[in-house]
Amino acid sequence: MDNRKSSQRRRFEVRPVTLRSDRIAAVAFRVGGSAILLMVFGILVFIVVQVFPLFQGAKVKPLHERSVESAGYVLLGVDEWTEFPFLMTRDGDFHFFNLNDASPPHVLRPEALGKASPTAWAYHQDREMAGLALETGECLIQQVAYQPEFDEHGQREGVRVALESVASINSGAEGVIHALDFDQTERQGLLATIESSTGGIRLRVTSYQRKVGLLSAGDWQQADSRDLTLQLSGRPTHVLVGGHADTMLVADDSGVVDVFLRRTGGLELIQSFRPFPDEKIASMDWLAGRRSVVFGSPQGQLKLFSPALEEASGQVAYDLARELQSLPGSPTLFAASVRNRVFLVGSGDSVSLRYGTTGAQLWRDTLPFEPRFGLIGSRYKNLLFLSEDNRLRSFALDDPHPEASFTGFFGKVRYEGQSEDRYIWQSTGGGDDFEPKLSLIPLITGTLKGTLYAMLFAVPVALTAALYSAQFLTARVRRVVKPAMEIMASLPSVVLGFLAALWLAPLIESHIPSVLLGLVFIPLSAVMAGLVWHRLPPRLRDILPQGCEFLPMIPLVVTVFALGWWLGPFAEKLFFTVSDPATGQSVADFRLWWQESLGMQFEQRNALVVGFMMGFAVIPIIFTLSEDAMANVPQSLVSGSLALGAGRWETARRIVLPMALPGIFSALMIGLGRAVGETMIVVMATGNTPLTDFNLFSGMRTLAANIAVELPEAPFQGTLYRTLFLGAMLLFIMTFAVNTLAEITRERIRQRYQSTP
Amino acid sequence: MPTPVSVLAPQASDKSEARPIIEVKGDYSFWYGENQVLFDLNMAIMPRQVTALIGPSGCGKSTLIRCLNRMNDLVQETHHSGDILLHGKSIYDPAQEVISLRRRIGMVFQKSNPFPKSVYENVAYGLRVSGEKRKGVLDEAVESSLRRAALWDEVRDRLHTSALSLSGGQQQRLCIARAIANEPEVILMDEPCSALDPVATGKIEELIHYLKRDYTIVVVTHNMQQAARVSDRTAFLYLGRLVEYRETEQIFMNPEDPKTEAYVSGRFG
Repeated sequence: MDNRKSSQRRRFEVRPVTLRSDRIAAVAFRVGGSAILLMVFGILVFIVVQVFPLFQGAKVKPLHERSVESAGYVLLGVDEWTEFPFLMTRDGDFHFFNLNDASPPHVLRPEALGKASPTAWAYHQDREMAGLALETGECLIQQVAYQPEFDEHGQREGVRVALESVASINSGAEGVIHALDFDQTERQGLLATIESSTGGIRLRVTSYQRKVGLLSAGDWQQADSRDLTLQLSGRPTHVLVGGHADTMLVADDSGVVDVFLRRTGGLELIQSFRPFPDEKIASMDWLAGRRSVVFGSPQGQLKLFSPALEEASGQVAYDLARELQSLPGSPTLFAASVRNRVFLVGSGDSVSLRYGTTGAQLWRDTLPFEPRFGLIGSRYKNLLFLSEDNRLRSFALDDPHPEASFTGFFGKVRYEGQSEDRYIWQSTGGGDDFEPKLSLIPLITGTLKGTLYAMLFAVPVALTAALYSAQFLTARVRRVVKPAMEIMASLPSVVLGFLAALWLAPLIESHIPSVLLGLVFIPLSAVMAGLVWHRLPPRLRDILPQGCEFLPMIPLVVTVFALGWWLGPFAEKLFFTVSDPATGQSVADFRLWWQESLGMQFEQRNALVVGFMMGFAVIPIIFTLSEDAMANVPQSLVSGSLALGAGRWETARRIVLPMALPGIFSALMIGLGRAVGETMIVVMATGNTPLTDFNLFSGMRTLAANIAVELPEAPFQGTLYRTLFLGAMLLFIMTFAVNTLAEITRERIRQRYQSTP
Repeated sequence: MPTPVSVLAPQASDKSEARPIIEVKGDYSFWYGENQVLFDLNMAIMPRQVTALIGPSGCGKSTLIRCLNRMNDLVQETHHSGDILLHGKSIYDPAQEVISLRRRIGMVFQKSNPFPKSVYENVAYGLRVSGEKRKGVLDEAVESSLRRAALWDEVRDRLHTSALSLSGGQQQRLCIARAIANEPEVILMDEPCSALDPVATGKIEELIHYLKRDYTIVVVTHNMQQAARVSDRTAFLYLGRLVEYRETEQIFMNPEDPKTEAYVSGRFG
């Protein structure tokens, strides 16, 4: 009895191996599933961490402080590392201080100065050059030469300073010079002085030049000197020289600014304007690059003016680029960074750092002292002030991404040299004073454009093909077609991109009317064939077994496409003849017609090519998934519909499509996601021009392609690097939004068409 | 092999009319690919009668009923010999549109298959696909079909809720209503009660009885009592051959063929 009981128990016992493997599998699945979720979340966190610093403001912390003897200093300058600032006294002595200790200053004096004291002075932080005017009308241009010294390990030990004479220019001034500015390139220089003489206040401009050989440069020679006072409407108060020593801005006491430009015949007045309609000009200073200028009014208003080419006249003219946030009072402090478009501006003890182009305020503070002079260190890592209580104070400045701002990424910005606010992506450029333009709008537009044209091509083709395959095609052919399409999906996109760029793009470019005709003819021929088929007597129709209707369609489509191809040149001649502006002759050329008649760009690598090729990449995905969805509609419902006398099309339209809609929808969304994130095809076939239009015949640059193209040029944790991550985050958000939307919509549709359990 | 029994002309009966509505003739045979499933059938189906097809599983009842409205066309690689006539005209005539054939011969399936649409849309479906758009006509057809399918009182308040919310028996009656809405001449029913409980089955049987006044009904059933209850004539199929086809009463009370007798008395099946 006992024996029987125990054997019975054993019969119903689960074997330990089964239980164990069940438990292990459960744990493994749990671990795997949560690891995936964790990883996706981790990627998102990583991206956000990379992007976050872009939107942080500047941080400023006190670094060093030392007192200086009060000796009526008039100029402040500093070396690259902000360690050995100098102050120039009214007599022309340069006092070099060590910020790290309280040692007495090292004093240097320009040799050419002799015993005389300068009457006017200017210092250019970017070139570390000082200009000093003497009573004789002579102007000395001195290089403040900081030479770092290194020990045997290559560590910087200290800095040796020297004053080197660059040039000595006779301005020809008759009175006492009280303001000057200068600018020089490798071969030419321009010096502007304002003097007060018995004849009043006069403006004088001297140009100088030198010959540059292969190995050495000659001495600076004075070319000519002119008095431009008569061209001014008032008495000059401020003068700036910039551009590439070819632009001069003069402000006068009536509040008018005159712009002079160097032409072959000398300086020419090209423009006069009032930055402030009712006020005078309190300050006027260049930003880095010496093209844009910031004006300050006695009320504390600040305005940024930039030169731009006027389309109508072909002339360069200064134009208001941006009104900046006002200061509490008249500006007393101004210093531009030499690295970027940041400037330091202050009125009394209230100072702020601004980014010129976007007007963003990066930092503002009320200092515990009254600054007399201020500077931004050349490396944009320090701020330096001389306070009214004769103390030099340096600050550490932490602002790795001043050019990054929400306005810059997503807003219209007027950059230097542009006549209007625009979205521009241009991350790197030529000169030292290049400003990165990081608008993401062209990239987002490009992404949407590429996706739009790809989907425009892919969706009708893929969905009609899927419907035909699922509902009409004979099973034997379907068994071949479906796997073939699935293999197509696994084609590497680099191959498609390669084909698009090297074969399709040139082919399409020279046959656009043919391609367009083909695009119209093929669907039209299908419709016509359907009509004809419908009219055929049933006896004729029955020759072809059901599901084999594609057989006569293939030669028809090929013939029609060939016809369109052949008719293309005639259509071009008929509709797209335009007179060539180069030769004046009338030619049949679609490319020219598109540019001349519609005024739109034409590029070989355009959205049409991308639409075809990316569509080609997306079609298999949409086809396979939506075909599955349609084929999975219960056969009983299809039979039910057919038994009620519905035709195959009616059944497809009223039963299959609505039932398969959730599946079709997710197929479309997955296709969309693929198109949004597709990289290789767009890198190779779009030309990568960051445009902001939806022109069918121009290129684009997508977010994904942008990351691929620019990543090799983005220094680790630089602004561009983080901006690329911002692009990645946008891609992430876009796909996330699309998928969430898709899921919600799918659920809704599914509830509406819930099938029998 | 049993010799085929052909019953071309119906036996004298007070209900029968002179001309059959459907004739299966010319030793009708049917193949799925290489596999022959119907052998040499000849039978006539009389109008306004219920004809039951009985037989053990796999005997070809469902195949035969699906041949009558050419639903077997949906299956790939089938062929047939012989002919089926509707009102004396071949249903295989190339001039015969399958669509109009199926409007004339409606069908109700074994498992109820309402569309995932509203009750109203289910019933109006046949009219809609034939191009009827007038709301008045549709409303009237829906109501009269539902009434005739004895479903109106149960669903009149929820015409616009999903048909899937109905019970199994109601769904099957909805499918019948849907078939009626097309005003067919013949209604084919392929084991209409096999998935239903006895109460729902009873209602369907009542309905069949009532519908017989207007329609010719061919019903496939596994349930011999059901065949006995609802049909006027019964055909017994065995291994794809027609063994016996007579008045129901005769089949059950006085079968001619020993196989019929064995089947109806429950000795195999």
